[in-house]
Amino acid sequence: MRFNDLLATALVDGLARHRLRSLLSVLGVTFGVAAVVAMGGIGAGAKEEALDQIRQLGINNIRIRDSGLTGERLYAARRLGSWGLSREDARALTDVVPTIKAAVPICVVKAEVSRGQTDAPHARVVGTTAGYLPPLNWKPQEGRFLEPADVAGTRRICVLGQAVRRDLFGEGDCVGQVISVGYSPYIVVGVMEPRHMVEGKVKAVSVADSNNDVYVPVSAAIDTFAHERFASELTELSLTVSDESMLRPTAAAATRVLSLRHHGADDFTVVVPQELLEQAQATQRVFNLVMGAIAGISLLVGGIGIMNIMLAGVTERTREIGIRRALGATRNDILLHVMTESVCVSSIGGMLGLLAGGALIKAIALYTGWRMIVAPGFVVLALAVSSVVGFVFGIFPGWQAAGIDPAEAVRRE
Amino acid sequence: MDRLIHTQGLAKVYGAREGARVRALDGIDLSVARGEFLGIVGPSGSGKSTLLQILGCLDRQSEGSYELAGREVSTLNDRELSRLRSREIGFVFQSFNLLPRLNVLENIALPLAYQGVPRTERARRASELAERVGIGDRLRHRPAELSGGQAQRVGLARALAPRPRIIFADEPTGNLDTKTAEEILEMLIALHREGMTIALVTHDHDLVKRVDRVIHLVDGRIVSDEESAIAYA
Repeated sequence: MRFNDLLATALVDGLARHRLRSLLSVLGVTFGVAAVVAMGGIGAGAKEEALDQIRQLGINNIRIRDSGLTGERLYAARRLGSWGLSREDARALTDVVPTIKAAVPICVVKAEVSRGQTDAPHARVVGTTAGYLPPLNWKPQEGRFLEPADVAGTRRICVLGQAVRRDLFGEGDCVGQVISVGYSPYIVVGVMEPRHMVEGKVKAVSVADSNNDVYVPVSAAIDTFAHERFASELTELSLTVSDESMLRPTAAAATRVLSLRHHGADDFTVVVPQELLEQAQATQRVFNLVMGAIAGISLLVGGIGIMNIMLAGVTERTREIGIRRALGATRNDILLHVMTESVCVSSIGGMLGLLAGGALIKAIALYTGWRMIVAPGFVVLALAVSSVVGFVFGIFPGWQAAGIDPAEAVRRE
Repeated sequence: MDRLIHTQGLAKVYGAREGARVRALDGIDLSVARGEFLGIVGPSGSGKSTLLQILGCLDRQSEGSYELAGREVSTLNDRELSRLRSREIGFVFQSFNLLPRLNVLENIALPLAYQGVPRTERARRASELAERVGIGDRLRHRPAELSGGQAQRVGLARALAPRPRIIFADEPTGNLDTKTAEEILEMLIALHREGMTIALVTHDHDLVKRVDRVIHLVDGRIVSDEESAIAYA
């Protein structure tokens, strides 16, 4: 029998016959496929989101954060001879650890930012250097960013984030204007382009909204603002590593160097965003495993349901199968007939599952605000899996049908 | 004489256990020439249908040999047997055995589908045959919408579709009233006149009088084999 005849027979004979029964029997496959699609969607979305978060911090990046000790613990550290994270540390790290391409000092200062009577309530003053920008894939929209000479000369200049600019100037010109940062006059030399911030689920790498930042030379931040007594010079060091594969060893080396320089004081933490991402993905894997198991069980149950319905169909049609055999159908024709039917039923279940999975993704995304992606790979996988289920669970009924004795079957009344 | 069917010592045994064995057919020696119209008669349980099914390659004998058109059937595998059924043999059944979800045209064309004949060619041949048996106006009807006589015409057209060498008819008029039974019989006789070989199982004594040759089965054995007096009368 030709394939298109086989297909037509399967559709007319198998599906049109007991629509409700066929539909019920494929529900298992439908749920299984829906689970696969939803799982894929959630997984792909979460991965994308985490990647975006990492990109926000810069690729090949290690962050060293000053612990911001206070009270007794601060004094204990100082007694050990550690003065907290400093520009000296940055210099030492670049000198000693060859895989560190750059160590960018960051000093976040508490200072009010205002212009006349207008102030920027959410502004965050960040002292840093020219090296801050390159890993972030971010650039000024107007004017320029900090330059080495600004830092060397402790110039009182600043670069504004979009939100701060809007707070202070609205849509008006700002480059060249003077604003007040911590009650000192600062000249605005640039405005950063707006930056889309991802609010990620990976907590340890979450960052403040850069659009609220006011960047000043790190030297100015340290020298001209009031600091707590004994406070560390820097809040953070951002290390850029030359090669992704060197992230871990570099982090370890940096930890050793700083421990020595800080005389063993436990006043800093080393964060490797990449590692956090990997941890987040490990959690994701557990979730995938659970969803995968659910999908697998559903598909198994669905497959058994299909096999059941096919077996019932074969028994019901014993005489018809006998007639077909009498008219020239080979055992193979009958086997293929039943299996085609089974694959069709299962694939339709799979397509329904795809629709259900898509709807589920939309619903979850709407409800939780998670980023979800209908991954094309998963669509193909789901359809392939459902036809394979139909194929596998069609073998036994098909084999039963092929074994029907035509002489006995046509004698039945 | 051009011999189409030749059996020797053909037997069919049902039941595996020694005590429960039934010999449905026993020592059948039969030759049928091309173009013959053979009637097989006998009481119920005499093995008529079993013989017809074995001759029609639907069943296999337990003992003895069976040659159809010069080929020993017992040596053929399932594929070859199916091919033989599909190309050389037409079946007409007492209860018509049409497939309920296929329409008249599709039922007639079904044997051709198993030969791999393309759809349009099948439809063409099937509608020709439908015209020939007088149901050309009911091609899209389902079997449930047909009368018994119409259904058996479809059955006959289906048997003829592959242009077989021989037609096996198992009580083709058993479920029909006298008038329609006569019509079907007329068609079989007309086919026979065109040279078709036909083997017919029947209870009907009127029918028996109109075939060339009658074999009489009792308890699985041929008890008489005679030329009918009124053949070609």
